[in-house]
Amino acid sequence: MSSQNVISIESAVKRFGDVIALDRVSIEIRENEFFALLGPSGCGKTTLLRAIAGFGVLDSGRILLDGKDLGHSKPYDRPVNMMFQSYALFPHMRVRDNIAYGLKADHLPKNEIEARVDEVLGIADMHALADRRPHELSGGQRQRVALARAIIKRPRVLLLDEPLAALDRKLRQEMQIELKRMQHEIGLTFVVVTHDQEEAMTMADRIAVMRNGRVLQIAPPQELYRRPADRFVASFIGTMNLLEGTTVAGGVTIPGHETVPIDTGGAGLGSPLALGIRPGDVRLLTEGEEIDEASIVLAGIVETTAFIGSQSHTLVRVHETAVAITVTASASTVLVEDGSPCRVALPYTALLALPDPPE
Amino acid sequence: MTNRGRNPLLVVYMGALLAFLYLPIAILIVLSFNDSKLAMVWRGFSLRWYEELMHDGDMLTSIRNTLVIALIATLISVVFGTLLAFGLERHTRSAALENGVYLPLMIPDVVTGIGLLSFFTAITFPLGTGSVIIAHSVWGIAFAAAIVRTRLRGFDRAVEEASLDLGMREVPTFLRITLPIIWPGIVAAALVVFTLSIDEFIIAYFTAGQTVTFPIQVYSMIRFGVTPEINAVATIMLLFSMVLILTAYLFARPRPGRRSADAEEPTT
Ligand SMILES: Nc1ncnc2c1ncn2[C@@H]1O[C@H](COP(=O)(O)OP(=O)(O)O)[C@@H](O)[C@H]1O
Ligand SMILES: [Mg+2]
Repeated sequence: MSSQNVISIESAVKRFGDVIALDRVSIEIRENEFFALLGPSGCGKTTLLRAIAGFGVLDSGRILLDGKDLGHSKPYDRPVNMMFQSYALFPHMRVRDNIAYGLKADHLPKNEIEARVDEVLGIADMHALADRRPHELSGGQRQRVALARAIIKRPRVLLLDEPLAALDRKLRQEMQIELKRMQHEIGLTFVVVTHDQEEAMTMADRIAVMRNGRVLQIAPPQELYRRPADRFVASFIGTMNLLEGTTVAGGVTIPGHETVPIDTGGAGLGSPLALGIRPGDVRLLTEGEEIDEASIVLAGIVETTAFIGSQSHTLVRVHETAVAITVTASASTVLVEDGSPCRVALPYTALLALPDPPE
Repeated sequence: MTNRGRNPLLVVYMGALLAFLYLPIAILIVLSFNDSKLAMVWRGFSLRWYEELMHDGDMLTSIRNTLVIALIATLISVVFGTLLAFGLERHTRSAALENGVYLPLMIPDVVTGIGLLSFFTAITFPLGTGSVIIAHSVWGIAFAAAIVRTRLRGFDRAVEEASLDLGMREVPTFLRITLPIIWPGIVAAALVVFTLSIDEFIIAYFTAGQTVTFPIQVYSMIRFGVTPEINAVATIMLLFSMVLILTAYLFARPRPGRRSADAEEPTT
């Protein structure tokens, strides 16, 4: 076992009645890493986070902290702190006392508590509000108090359950940067739960994508985007164009085209496999234009074009299969009008073989 | 409020209704300060009935009995009522259990009184202060459970988990987090049970044996005709109850100045 892993989750299983909230989940989280658990609502993210914190006993599997099995130890015996989705601030205490709570629980000397509370109030930029009660704060301010309260004990791992979900869009984007900065500054290991792929991509060093209690892929954001393990991950992380195909010897075929030579990753011959391509890798061909690269070329009709910032997003409806292909290009290169016939080229080198995710 | 559209008939009706509700009480208060023994005659302001009250040994004993009963019954009711409220809120979804708990509040007092009397006699429990305390706790617990329950319903348990997560064990978590948050409900329950206990007559009458509680004392005095001393007692009771009910109300109502959860701070 490598010593740099702060948390090792080994084949964790947790059931609620018939629901399998965690299905043989194994994850290693490294020192000082910003790790994200990403997945749609109900996929087991909160369950996993709570298991690390000591709430809810696993049915099987183990969680190790610095190589030691946490077993059934209680939340107050784990050097791990959690920022709750609802913030869970103590309503009858001032901001200052909320933040000091964890240190008081450890019976630290009074002057040390005061010094550390002051320091954390500084990091969270909350000095002016130290004597307010939670109900006198805005959503963003409450979020800061919850964060301050969770970092003050300098836990080995800080667990954050949807820390930004309750904030409005603009504040959320600011706080993504802010959280990342704070994590650098105080040098803590962060595990963040989110259902927002953009948020995970912005903040995390590595992401575990979850679905139905399973971990589908663990990778840095770039790799998730470039080499998604399956169709689900591919579509969940950004936009992915998909063509339904079948594995054959030496690659994948889609109806009406020659075999695309591609590594099918051990999928059995004749089994269905999708070919995926990112919108930015698709080329919209002008009339009569030929492409040098080996590509799948499909004829269709331009449905709509949307301009977002400096980019254009064109939706092409392919004749044969009625599949919609999204093409992204810099705005200046687009020259096709809505409704006009066109061709798109999908270079082999940009195609990804995408199996179905495990059920 | 404006005068627009106010019907004079309604004003008269309203006045009559208020008079009906409050005139008897007003008369009682006035008469308690009347120097005359006769209700018909106003002989001038006097505190003589209050003074007489202070020297009425039987009356003072009954008041002491009632206060002892109310205090202990309140204590029992609040402790067990709170535990019951926790049990109902967190450890069961049984509707039957829930309704069973609140049933004592609906049973007519006469029935409760007879039932308890038979019960105490059957187990040869001596009738007296102790039996009245138990009798009052029967509905006191139900009341307290109902009141504390409303406070627990809006309770976010993540707050307790946050406390455990931050290193506080279960018992200190209960004392520092749970209890302070539900405290207003407990105080309100205590005040309500106390107020109900001090003027409870029927059940006490059945279960008190030789012990004379304050309402029983007043009842026995009235059998020899209303003396102004009774007016004085009633006036003091009235004042006392109003203070208690008002305090209960202030505790039970939501905190003032609570802002909506997602109100954003105006940018300055
Ligand atoms: N205490 C519980 N009792 C019963 N089912 C639960 C409980 N907690 C979670 N679940 C179920 O477990 C699954 C995973 O839940 P959760 O971990 O909260 O998902 P996420 O945080 O990813 O939205 C869901 O189907 C949810 O309904
Ligand atoms: Mg969740």
